[in-house]
Amino acid sequence: MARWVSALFRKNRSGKNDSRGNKGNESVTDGQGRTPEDRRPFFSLVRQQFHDCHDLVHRSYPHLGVDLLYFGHLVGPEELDRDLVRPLETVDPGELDQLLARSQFMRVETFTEAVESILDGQAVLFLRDGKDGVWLAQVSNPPGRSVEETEVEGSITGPHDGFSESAQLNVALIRRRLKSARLKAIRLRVGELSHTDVYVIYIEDIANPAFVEELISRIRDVSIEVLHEAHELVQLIEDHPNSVFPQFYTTERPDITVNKLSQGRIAVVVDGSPTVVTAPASLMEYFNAADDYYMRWISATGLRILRFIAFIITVSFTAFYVSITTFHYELIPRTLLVNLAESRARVPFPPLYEALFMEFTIEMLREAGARLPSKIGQTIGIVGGIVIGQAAVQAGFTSNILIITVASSAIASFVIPSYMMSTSLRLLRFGLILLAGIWGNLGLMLGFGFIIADLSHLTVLKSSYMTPLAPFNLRDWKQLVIRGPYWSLRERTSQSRTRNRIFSKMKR
Amino acid sequence: MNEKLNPFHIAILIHVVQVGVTVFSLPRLCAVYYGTNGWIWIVIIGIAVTANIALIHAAVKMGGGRPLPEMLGLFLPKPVSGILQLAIGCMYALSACLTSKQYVLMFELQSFPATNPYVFRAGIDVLILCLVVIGIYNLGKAATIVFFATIPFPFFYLSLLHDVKLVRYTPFFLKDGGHWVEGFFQVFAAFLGFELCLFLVPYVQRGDTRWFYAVYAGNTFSWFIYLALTVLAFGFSSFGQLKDLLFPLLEMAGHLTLPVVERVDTLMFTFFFLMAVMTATAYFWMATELVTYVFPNIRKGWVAAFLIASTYFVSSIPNELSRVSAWLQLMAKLAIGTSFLLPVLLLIGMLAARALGRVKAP
Repeated sequence: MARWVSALFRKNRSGKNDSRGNKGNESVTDGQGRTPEDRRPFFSLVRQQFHDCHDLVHRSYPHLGVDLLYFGHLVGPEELDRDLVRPLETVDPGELDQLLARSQFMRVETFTEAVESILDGQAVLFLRDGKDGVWLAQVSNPPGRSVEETEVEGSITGPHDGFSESAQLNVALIRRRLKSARLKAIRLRVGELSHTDVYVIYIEDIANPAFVEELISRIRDVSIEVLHEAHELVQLIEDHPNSVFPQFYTTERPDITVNKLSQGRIAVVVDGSPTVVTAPASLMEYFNAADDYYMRWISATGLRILRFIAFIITVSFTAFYVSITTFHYELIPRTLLVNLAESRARVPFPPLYEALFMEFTIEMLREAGARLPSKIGQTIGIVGGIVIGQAAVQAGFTSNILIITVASSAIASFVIPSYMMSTSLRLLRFGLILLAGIWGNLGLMLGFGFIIADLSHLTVLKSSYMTPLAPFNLRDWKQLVIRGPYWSLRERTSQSRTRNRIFSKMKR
Repeated sequence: MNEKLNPFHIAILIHVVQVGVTVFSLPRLCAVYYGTNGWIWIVIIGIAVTANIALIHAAVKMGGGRPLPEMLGLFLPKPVSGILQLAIGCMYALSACLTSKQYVLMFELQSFPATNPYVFRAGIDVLILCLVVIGIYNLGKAATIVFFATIPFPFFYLSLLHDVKLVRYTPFFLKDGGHWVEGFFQVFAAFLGFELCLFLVPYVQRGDTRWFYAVYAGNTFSWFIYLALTVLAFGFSSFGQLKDLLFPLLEMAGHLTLPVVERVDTLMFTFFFLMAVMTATAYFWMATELVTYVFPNIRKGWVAAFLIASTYFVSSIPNELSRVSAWLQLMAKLAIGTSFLLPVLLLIGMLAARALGRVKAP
């Protein structure tokens, strides 16, 4: 028994979850020093492997010499009934061989393969205790959420379907939009215990093979017991895990994923996660939204510029307020100076403490609102509105102008379409506020200097994160910085390093 | 490093490294040392700088893609070339530290009269260290971001065009000046930073010889900005004012007012912080390259940290802006001497090495 278990784990480590191709469990191959018993999937051995697994279902057909093993909650009842139960109940013993020759049955050769198939949600059929052969039937249909609209990346125009937790479903959503045999989906497995399916999806001849190889090799190198989520995988494979900026683009929208794939990028779908990762990514991508491509280009460009302004506001507006009210009153226009002085006159704290107090309050409100059910969340909104809106000013805690500043920063952070980027920027804001409170504008610039240093050395799959700004590429600007009219979007962006650059052949 | 610097980044890098806080005092230097219509010397010195770059270009061509220390090693004994590299490295490191100190003292003069500048400088040095260790390719990217952040400011001066009086450009040329040689060094110092091109050889595409034209382009852009701003300053302020004002271009910016910002000069000077940091970083990077070549077993990060820390203490000796400026002027003279003599030495040395058969003629 112990030998089988150790053999199972040895395979998992040495095989590095390798299963390239469409067949379910091709990863199990011979020639890795397994014992003969390990290669033969006897019913009793497999049953023994799953001892104390009370959710395992065992059905037997003594007149046929057939035993079935499967997890009842992982198989689809309809599929089980149609492909397995009904045929087995109606078949004559002499016709069993013909039945098993049907396409829904696949021969299982090894013990490990049999165990993994059951864990995957397939039903495994043993003929005469496995001595006359073992087959699996593709009846897997684990429970999961159906296709719903994503909550974090809503759109006004365009499709509303979002990814769900099933990798199969997510791959299907992508395939439905890209009906091409060149769309490749390589299945890998991550997690020694969880055996999580991870699909690396790309379009052959468009995606750079070096990126595909690099991504696959990084995912294979991941060695953890349980992989829960796509964001977790991202943090295990990114180039610079200590940077504050997210380096792989994550989305819950199939249309965005398809757009990225067609741009020569690679998508990674993780089973159990509604988030799909695309790479390589650049900073500018985080300011693009799906709607940009459905709106008229002038409106979309306007919105992108709005988001870039929001980026500057959310990072620096409060810090700038702290800086000028602490050290640089000369920067304030005379007309505003009187109002500001009046507003600040009743506040007993230095601007740094005042701003930090307000920012912390807003962040706490946001965090509380994010975790609470929506009905209670509304209450939080009202309480927060009253507390930070009026009471804080009347109590002399803060000035009116700071309220406007902090609120603008908070709203600006929500303008940024990517939640991951927005969270990172909010954190940077606190650092800049501190520096501005200590050293004024010089501190603010020092903070910007650190941000620039971080951004400049960031790479994603060894390609620059700051493209198309640095390396400068004006052609990419109409894709990433503005949203150029469709007739001008002829080439894929340079970061994908595709050999096939032409994207649109339309002449106008 | 997989990626190589492309010409666009080289041009931007050279421009960003050249432009520093000296630009604000450029009209004063021209007025004091060259007199009326002294801006004309910007043209002449620009030509001298271009000639200097051409000299470096010739030396780099002669080197056939070899980095500077390797070229020196071809014709100098190892100890001599090592000492020369260390000396130049120390000079660059001290120049870098003094540049950042000059900026901090100027900022202190404007906004923080009561604050201790040593803590400021420590913060800046940490930033410089971060920038040096990311390497020249990433520094090129950082320079591009800094360039885009600061490029709007020269255009702000265009709104002062209506205050330019033609009468201030007197028909007299170069009257009331005098110290032309000293002036040459002072104004030439504003162009320093182009020496960086001598160190870029291993970081550009091998076999590509056109990258050096980007150095000319970057320098020409700085030259154009300097000339335009100085000409504008000579028409905006009177000759007497120009001689008296410490930073005439900052004073000019003081006349600018935006609806949301009262004193554009303060804001502009604040943004120049990034330029000053880039200049200092480039010099520290050059120093690190030179020292690392002499001591190849020490990691670049440690070399950079040592250089930054040691020059931090050395540059603490001059504690006033005027004394820092005096030290900087001395360093600038040494740097100018190096920028002319080093390529000449390389050219002669490489010719000698070729004659001795150590190097094949291309």
